[in-house]
Order: sequence, then C-alpha cells, then structure tokens
Amino acid sequence: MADYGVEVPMDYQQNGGAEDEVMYNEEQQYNDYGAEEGNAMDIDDVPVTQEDAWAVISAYFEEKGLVRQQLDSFDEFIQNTMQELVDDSSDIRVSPELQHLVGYDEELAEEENGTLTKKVFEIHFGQVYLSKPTAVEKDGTVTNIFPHEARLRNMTYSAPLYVDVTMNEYRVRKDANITDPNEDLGKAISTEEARKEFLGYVPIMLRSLFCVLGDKDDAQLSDLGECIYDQGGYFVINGSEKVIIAQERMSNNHVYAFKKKQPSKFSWVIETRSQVENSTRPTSTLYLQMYHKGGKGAIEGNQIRSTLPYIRTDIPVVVIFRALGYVADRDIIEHVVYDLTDGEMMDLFRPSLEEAFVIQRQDVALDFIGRRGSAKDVTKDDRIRYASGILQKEVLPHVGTEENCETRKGFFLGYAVHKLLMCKLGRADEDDRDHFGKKRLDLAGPLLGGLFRVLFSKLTKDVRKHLQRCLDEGKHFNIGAAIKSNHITDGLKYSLATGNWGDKGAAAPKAGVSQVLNRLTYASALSHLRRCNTPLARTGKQAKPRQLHNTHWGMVCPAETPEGQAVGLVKNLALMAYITTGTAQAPILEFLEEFSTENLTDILPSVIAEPTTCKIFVNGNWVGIHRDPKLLVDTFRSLRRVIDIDAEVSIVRDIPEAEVRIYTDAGRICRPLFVVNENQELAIKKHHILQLQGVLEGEKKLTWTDLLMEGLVEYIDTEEEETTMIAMEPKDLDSGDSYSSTYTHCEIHPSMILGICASIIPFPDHNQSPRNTYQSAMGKQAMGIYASNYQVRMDTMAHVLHYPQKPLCTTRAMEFLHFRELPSGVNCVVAIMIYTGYNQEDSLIMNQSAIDRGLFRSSYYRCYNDQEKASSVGAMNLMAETFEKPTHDSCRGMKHGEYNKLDDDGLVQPGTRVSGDDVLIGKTAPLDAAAGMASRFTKRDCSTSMKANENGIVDNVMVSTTKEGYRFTKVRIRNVRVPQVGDKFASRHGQKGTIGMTYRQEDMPFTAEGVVPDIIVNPHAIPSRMTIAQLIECLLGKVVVFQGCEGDATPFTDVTVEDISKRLHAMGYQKHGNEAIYQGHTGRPLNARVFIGPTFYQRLKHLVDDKIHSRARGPVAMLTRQPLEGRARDGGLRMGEMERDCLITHGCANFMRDRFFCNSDQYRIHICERCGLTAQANLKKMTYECRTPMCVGRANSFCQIEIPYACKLLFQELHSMCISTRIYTDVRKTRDNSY
Amino acid sequence: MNAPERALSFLLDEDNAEQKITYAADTKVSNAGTFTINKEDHTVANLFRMQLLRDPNVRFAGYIHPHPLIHRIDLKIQTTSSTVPPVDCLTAAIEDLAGETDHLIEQTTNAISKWKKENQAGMGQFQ
Repeated sequence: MADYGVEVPMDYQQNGGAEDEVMYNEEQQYNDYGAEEGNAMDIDDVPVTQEDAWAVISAYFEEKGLVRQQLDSFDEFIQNTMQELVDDSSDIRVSPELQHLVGYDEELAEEENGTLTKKVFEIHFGQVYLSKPTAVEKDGTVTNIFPHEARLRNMTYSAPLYVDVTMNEYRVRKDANITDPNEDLGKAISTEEARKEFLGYVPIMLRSLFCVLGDKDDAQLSDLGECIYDQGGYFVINGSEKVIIAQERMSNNHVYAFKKKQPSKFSWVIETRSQVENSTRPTSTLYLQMYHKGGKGAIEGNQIRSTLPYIRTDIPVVVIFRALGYVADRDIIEHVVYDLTDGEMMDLFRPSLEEAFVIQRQDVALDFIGRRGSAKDVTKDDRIRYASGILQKEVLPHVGTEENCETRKGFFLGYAVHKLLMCKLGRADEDDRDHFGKKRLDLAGPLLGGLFRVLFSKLTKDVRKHLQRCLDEGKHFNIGAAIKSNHITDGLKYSLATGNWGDKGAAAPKAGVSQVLNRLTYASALSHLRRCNTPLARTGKQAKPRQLHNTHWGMVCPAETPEGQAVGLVKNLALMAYITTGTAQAPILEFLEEFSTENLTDILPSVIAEPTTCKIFVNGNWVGIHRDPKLLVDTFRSLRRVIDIDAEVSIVRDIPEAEVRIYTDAGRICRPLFVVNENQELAIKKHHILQLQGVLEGEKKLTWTDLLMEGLVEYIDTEEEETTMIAMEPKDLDSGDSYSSTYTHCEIHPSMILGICASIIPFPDHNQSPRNTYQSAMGKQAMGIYASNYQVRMDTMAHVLHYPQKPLCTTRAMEFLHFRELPSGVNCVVAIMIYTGYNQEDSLIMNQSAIDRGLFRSSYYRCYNDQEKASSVGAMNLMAETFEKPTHDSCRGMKHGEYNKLDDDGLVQPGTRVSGDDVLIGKTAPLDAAAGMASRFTKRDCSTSMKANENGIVDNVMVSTTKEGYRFTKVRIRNVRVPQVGDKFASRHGQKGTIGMTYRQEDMPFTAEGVVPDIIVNPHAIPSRMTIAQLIECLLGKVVVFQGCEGDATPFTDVTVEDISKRLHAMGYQKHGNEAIYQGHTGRPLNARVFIGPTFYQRLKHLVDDKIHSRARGPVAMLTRQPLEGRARDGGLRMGEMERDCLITHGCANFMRDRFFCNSDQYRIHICERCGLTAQANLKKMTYECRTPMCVGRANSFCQIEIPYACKLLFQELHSMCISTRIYTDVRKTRDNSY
Repeated sequence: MNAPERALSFLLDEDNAEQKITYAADTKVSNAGTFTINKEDHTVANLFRMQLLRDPNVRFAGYIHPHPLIHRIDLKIQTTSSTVPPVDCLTAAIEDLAGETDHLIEQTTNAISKWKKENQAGMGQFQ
C-alpha cells in the first residue's frame, strides 16, 4: 500500500483523470521545457498526443455546439435562399384584356383597338426583410414572442416576412410578347414603389440567427423560461416542438454507370441526374443505355442509345452528337474515345456509329429527334426548333441552358459515353450506389427552400390573378390587398406541423419529414436533432442500402440505428460530422482560370488523351482541362487552408481517371481532420494546444476558426477522404515502424466516429457491436432530466428521475453532451450472481431498502389541455363554451367522474389529489334552445377528465388565451413512481431487465465490508451477449469509487483491463473485482466469489403501472357488440387465432364457446320454423309472428336461437343484397324451396 | 398500483382469523410435525432452525419460506423419540433463544456503559 500512494497521480495522468489534472500536467511540462531553453519554440518539440486532441475537440464544440448543421442550414435559407427564390421568380406582367360586358363602350374599344400599343403592368419583387419573431393577438396588437410563450400557449414561433415591390407601367407595341421575361418593354411610363409589403410568417428555428435567444446568456435564458442546455435547432409550431429530419438523396450531376442483369435489354446504363446550381427545379435525368448483344430485329447489339426528356423513344447517341453539331464521325469519335489508337474501344463504339449512318446532317438529326417529341403535325422547322430547344434547355441543364453551350454538352456527353465504353470493356467498375460520397443530405434549409418556392409561386399566381382582375375592371390595384399572406404562413406551418412535405393538395407528399422532438431525455432530443432518413421503400428486402459502408466512417454513427424495418435507413450523424451549406462555385471557376485551366471551348479533343492532361469537374460539370493537376490540387489545398477558398469546398484528385473533381454544393457530409505535412508531422503543435486551453499567458485563446485559418485542421468530405491517408492517432506518425510514410491527415480522435447515444456507452470498443446498437436505442428511453426548465414546461408526458447521478465511468465526449449536468441514471452497486432465483431470464433483484431510501424514484408529469372553442351554433361569443363547474341541474350529459374537485372557475386547484375519471377541467357548451325541446337543461357538459387508470396530484394549472382570443388552459398532473416489481431497468450495454423481486436489506447478500448490492443481475445475461464493457465499467467503477475521481471510459484509448485491475489490487481488493459474499438469510459465506461493483443503471420509461390491465366485463364496440381493444379503453384481451388453435387441440369445445361466444357478442333472435327467416317476437306480450308473405296468417311455430351479433349483422347485410339466409332447426326431408 | 401492501408482511390478517402459529402433526412420520408461523420470514425461522438443531432430541429441523411474497414459514421438526413431542422442542428452543438474546442485550448495554464511563470526556458531542 505504501507504493500505492505514489502511483495515484501516475494513474491519473494515464487515465485522463479530471480535467484540471490534465491541465496541471501540461503546465508542468510547459514549465519544464520553458525553463530549459527559455525559448517558446521548444514547446513544439513536445509531441502532440491523443490527449491533446481533446483541447481541439472542445474548441470545436464550443464554437459549433451539437446542432450546428440544423442552424447553419436554416440560416442559409433565411439569409440567402429566400432572397434568391424571390429574385428567381420572374416579374409579373399583365396587360388589360378587352371586356365584353353589358354596356360595353364600342367607341372606346374602337379607339383602343385603333392604337398600336397596349398598356403593360409589371410587378417586380425585390428585397425581402425578416423581422424578429412576433405574434398578433386577438385585439390586433403585435408583440414580440419568445419560444417559451409559444410552447405554453400553443402558438407558432415565427417571424413576419416583408418584401419590397416595384410596380411599373409600360406602353408597348400590340404584338409584344409580354410573357417572355426577356422581352424589352422600354422605359416605364410610371413607377410605384411599395416598401415592406407583408408576405407571411416564416417559422423560426430556435437559436438560429433570427431567433431572439441567439445572443442570450444563461441567466437571461433561464429568465425567459428556456433550458440553458437547450441547443435549439427545432421549430415551435402550434406549441409543439418540431424537428426537420435530414433527408438523404443521391448527388446530382454525377455520371453513374450501372450494370444491368439479364432480363433487362441493356447491358450497361449511365445515369446523370442533372440540376442547375442553386435551382430548386426538379432534376432532369439523362440515361445512356448499351444494348445487349444479339437482340431481336435491327438491334444487333452494343449500340448506345439515350433517353431524352420529353422524347418518346430512345435516340441513338450518335444522332444526339449530330444534333449538337458534331457531324463528322471523326469528330464524334474524338469526343468519345479520346485515344484514336485504342482499337478495342473503337470497335465497341462502331455499332453506335453504324446505327446512325443514315443521319449525317445536323438538321436531319434534329428532325429525327423532333419527330419523336410530343408535338405532332407541325412543320419541319418547328420540329427542328423544338428539338434544339430540348437539347438546349432540358438535356444536361447543369452544363448550360443558354445558347451556344453545344460544345460543352458535346464534351460532357462524350465523357458519359466514354465511361460507358470503359465499363463495358471491363476497364472501369460499376458505380457504388451506396457510396456515402455520392450522397447528399437535405437539411432544413433546402427542404424549406423547396417548400417556399412552391408557396411563393402560388402567391405570385394569386397576385397576377388579382392584378388582371383589377386591370380588366379598371379598379385601382392595391398590392397589399393582392398579396395573400396566408399562402406562406399556412403552407409552411402545415408542412412543419404534419410532416407532409409539399403542398397540401400534392399527390405524394413526403411523410415524416418533420417530427415532434423527442423530449424523453436530453440525449434523445440531441440525437433526434442529428438524425437522417433515407426515403426508400422500407419493405424492400434489399440489404445493401442498409449496411454500414466504409465511407460512413466518421460521418454516421456505426452503432446508432433503429432495429427492425428502418434498420440502416435511419442514420445518426457522428459527433464531428459537419454538413456543408453550399458555397457559390463562381470563385472556384475564377481560381481555376487563374491557375491556367484550359476551358473546354478552347481545346482540341485530342488533348484529352494526352497522359499529362487532367479533366477538371466542378460540381459534376466538366469545365476544362489542366496539364499539371498536382500543382493545381496543392495550390487549391494551400488556399483552402487559409480560407481563401471556403473551408467546406472539397477537391478530389482521381489519378487513375485523370480527373480533378471539385465540389461546392450543399449537403455533403464532412468532418475535420488534423493536417499532416510532408515531414509526416502534425501541422498543429504543442503551443497551439496550450493556446487553445488558454494556459499560455499573453497569447490569445485560439478558437476553432483560428485552427481552420492556420491550416492546422481541415474539413474533408466523404469523397475527398478517399484521396487522403489518415493516421489513426498522432502516435502513428512518429513511431519508427509506422504503417505508412505518406500520411496526409490524422484523426482528431477515433471516438468521434460515434454518435450522441453511442458516446454515452463506456468502453463501447469492448462490446459485441449489436449491444451498442441496443443501448443506443435504449438510452433514448432512459429517464433523466430532459431539460433544466422542466418545471415551467407543460409537456403532454414527461418522466423526471429524482436525484440522477453523473456516471462514475464517463467518456470524454459526454462533456459536450452535457451528460454530467443532465444525467439519466444512477450508479448502483451491482452484483452478478444467482440468489433465490428471482432474477432469471433478464429480471433483476433490487434492494427494497435502497428503493425506500429513494433509489430510482421518478416523477411522471402529464398535461391535459382544453380551450373555450366557439360553438358551431351561432358565431356570437355568447354561444362560446365556458370554463365553469357544471351542475347536474343545468347540464346535460355529465360524466360519471368526480366534479367536486373543481373550483368555481372550472379548474382544479394545484395540490389536489386526483385519480381516475376525476374531472380536471370543467367546461360547458350552451345548448341551442330553439332546436331542442323545452327542458331544464341549458348547457351541455364537455369537461376533460383524467385517464381512467392514472392518478396523481395537480402540479400546475395554466390559464391563458389562444391567438384567436379564446380562454385556454393546461393542467399538469404529477405522480411519483417508486420502483416496483415489473419496472424496467438497463445498464449502458444493451442489458435490459425488469425487477423480478425486491428484498429488504436483511434478505440481501452482503460483502465482508457489509456492502449490500442495490441490484443483483443473473450471470447468464453475460456470456452469450458478450457485453464485456459492462464488466470493465464495473471494475473501473470500483476503482474510481474508492479513489474518489471520475473513471475515463472513452473508447479507443490506452486504458487496459490490466491497468484497472492493478489499481484495484493496489487498494487491497481482489484484482478482478470478485468478493466473498455472505448469504443474507443465514449470514453464512457463499462458496463462490461474486463479481460486485458500481455500475451505472438507467430506469426506462416502461413502467408496470402504465401497462397493467385486466378486464372482466366492460365496454363493447357499437357496431359489432364485441369487446373493445386496448388498455386505454378498458378493452378485452384478445383470444386470437393461435390461442384458438390451442383450444381446438385440447378439444375443449365448451370453453371455446364460452370464450368466443358467451364472453363476446352473444345475441338472441327468433326464427320462423316455417320459412327459416327471422321472426318478430314481442317477449312481453308473448306474441310471435313471421311477416314473410308465405307465412302470414298460416299456422306456424317459432324458435329462439342464439347467434353471435356479428353473424346477425352478416345475415342482415346479405338480406340487403337479396340473399336470404334461412335457419332450419330440424332436419328437413326436401332440399328444394317448397316449404 | 398492484403491489401488495407492505403491512401484510407483519400484520396478521385478523379478518380471516389468521393465527400467529399453528401446529399440525405429521400423518406419515412419527414424532414429526409442521409449525406454520404466519407473518415471519428467514429472520426468525433460521434462528429457530439453528437452535433446534443444537437440541439432541431433534432429529430433523427445517423450514421453508414458500415465496418471498407469502409471509409464512413452515417449520418442520422431527424428534428422536415419541417422548419428546416437537412442540416441546420448539418451546425449549424459543426459551433458550430468549435467554441468549437477553444475555446479548445485557452484555451489550454493559459494554456500552463501560465504554461511556471510560471515555466520558470525549462523549460530549454524542450524548
């Protein structure tokens, strides 16, 4: 033990320990080295370690937080996209049309007709303005609104949007085509400016640039009722918090090659989804298909044809070349094959050339295409114009839609054909559909942008309609009246509220884009804000898109994905993943030009084949060639490392393909990495680290942006990542036997590959991987403190754990997740042993005495709300509903619950104990006096009562008004939940279980020191599940609890089990954490040693009290008279098919009858024994009659039978279709219809 | 909600005339019988068993606590001869235990008062 005292600080150092401990060490080191030379440079001789990386990671999260992608994307939408969309919409031009109305003035019309000019009215939308979030009250007052108020009062947190409008009047020639936006209208004869016209309300993302919380400090935030740890990134729509889930899609403008299987006509297909930069127009896809050899008819094989938009049949690709102006075969071959000496490829291209042999002129080719277009019966000239229009505007629009871009389109088409030929020849591989580099994530910005574009065009359409009407009727046009602001207000709100992305009437809106933010625990909310979805048919059995791809490394969490139908399709971003917001490509093009890129229009196609040249692509568009790609890429990178080029722009040098690809578009996923210079050293030095930590005196504290500016770290996207060589840790760089000598980057920390939920798992690198996935799902159900402002929030349902603890074994990443501040569990003493047998099959034994002392107690909050709606009868406020205590003498339809707990205002008082069916909010609606007959009732009861099987204490009652001015109330009920048999608990390793038994302390086993476990888990839970990390957590927890510090359980560090057990051993414990245990009942020692130590356990939200259900008799469904379903409706427990099968095999027919008939929908009818149809029976008068014409008046006998009510319904339904069902109660001789 | 009441573990169910202890002689084995002790658990049952096993007249003594939520003890005793009935053995055992516990209490209180006397000065804060 004497040595041990010396060992402690060393252990700390090794283990990370507490943070100040680390700083202390560094300062020490700094002082040591500083004293030696007195020269600041020498600090840099100290190697940067993996431990130092945490300073960088802290700087990253300090600046970015955890929901930066949401905020950045939304800010981009607000600041740029919205204005761009308004600018992109063409001006509204309208000229008055002749009206043929009664009393129409012939002369005036003549005069008008006589002139050669007409009046044109033009409306141009200019600058847009967004104000701070406001709300309009019923009385018209506009007030600033804060998110918390919006949440409480079920309002929308949105800001008004204004626009400047210019209205011009022109006089133009009569034949001027005013629908063409390029038509010059000359000088305006009059101009009117309208400043800041109201466009509508735009919901504002919390903590974004335009949110009022943006610049508030913690004290101000808590004054505003906000959680100080809340990161924003969501919207408040009608009081509920909505997150926009990132949507994954394939990237545009990329040339994909796919191999087709036999049943298809094609052997290979090239696909290019082309979209113009920053345009929200739908993509136009170009397909190039190569036919299989040996097809039928004229198709003899290997020809390449293309599918063009609006053209009905596939066009041979050579015809398209001819239509673009490449007439000569040699010209075409130069653009496709590049290297004319490549005989193999020439041979492969020959069938395509031969196919188009008959079409040798451009106009013939255009006509050929035009004939296959949608326009019919038009002249040849029209067809040619139509075809060239399609080629210019619709084919490959990203290359260019202006005139004279045929050269570049020809080059691009040639490139695509070249790729097809390469694939067919086996020189290139099929494209990987699941490569994450070819994926883009659409976040709030692009999604809202798409929505806004549709809504704005709807608005302009309305303005145009209004303007036309005003002009036609000669009325004054008022822009304020023309703009229907509810298009944008309601449109955005509808999509955000329902999650149906797209217009309300749209045919196939994307569902589930916006979801209600999960507020079960803090980590679940964070994880929800970083989720992304792949809109793929979930039923598809295809496994590939669900699998973890190599390129997911560091971008999406390998563990956190749901189980079941959405497995692998719903992903969660890794901690340091960053999503680009998109930057303009113009500066990149400028840069390329400056650094001697040769434009495609200026080169000969023969140059491409030269070995030194390299094709340059920007956002998938081929812009030119370069003769020294290495220099270009190096220059580019060095400029990017000083942010002369935006840090999120990526560059890929594809050496085998001789291509350089540059991407600036939005939605690429990237992550920061340490830059490694040519000497295989990190660019970041020790003094940077010290500066980041702020321990260097007199030097400014570095921030993340500074690191980017100095080129010490850089963002690398998934595609660029493949051209880098990344060291796993700094140590790999300077060790002599390093794996590589060409490292370009180094991981900041390998544990950053994990997402939010997986970062909470201690030692995930010691678990079987599915266990981490299970825990990632379970961590979201753990109770904790979901927000620091839970006392002032009125969530419909919430669980709050009493006295949560920060875990003994923490990971470094937890610091950024605020898991220590808002934890979701308790450190329990856990023994892994067999004891009395009440912990079999994943159940736990819990210490009842510990429970009595408050272990795992939690509060359950539930909110009920109601408002005084205007009654449907009569619009007068008199007829509105009122909150009051309903009385039996004036109210109809009173519920059977307890009304006495209501105060005079119709609401329960805080502190009242309430239980099942008690009325919480008393409300009455006036009865329409005229409609009903005279009665003592003047009101109808429409109160809200508690859920039948819940109880609690009224915690809080809020009364307010809605936006419409109606009174509105929320009542919160609180209920303490004490752990009991049946409640669910889990460790942090996917080991869940329910309490099987609770024992008081005297019945629990104990150690030699008298330690009694809180939880006893069954050892059988361990071997097959291989959750070794749970054992390590327990072991480290034991060490740490005695040393009084935090244990570092970060994955991928140097901590080993041996280190931990040595530390434990040094304290006089058995090194593997086993202890002698004494039987609780007898006090005798057990034969075996038991593994015991503190483990962090979570209480999950599944509590027996919320599940327990039984029913003897109860409500039945109206239609079928069968028992209802579900606990909430006090339903029955279904006896299903399989249960029925069991009864059949047992042969218990009477029991079957009892279950399926007597206890369900037994019914009694009378039938006429003569005709077998139902008869009319009056049991009181004992009269029976059959009204069938055949039976009326005849002597007859009747029979009472019992059938299921559903059967009776079936008979009635059959009768309605003229099918009679006759029931005979005795055996009949004849089988014909004579009776 | 559905959890059994805690008091049921120590309060006799007087409505159903529950007895603290009942004895039933064994019908098959001679000199044997089962005591059913209600509202007790291992604490007392184990003590009885240990004490009974010290008695040379006892051939067998064992108990069962049928289920943690059933607060009952079935204590089975078989004596060596028919002259000593199990009831006598249990009575003796209880008396012995009472004596032993009294002795324990006495010893403890004595030790405490002795310690208090010896450490009078430092006791101020605990008194």
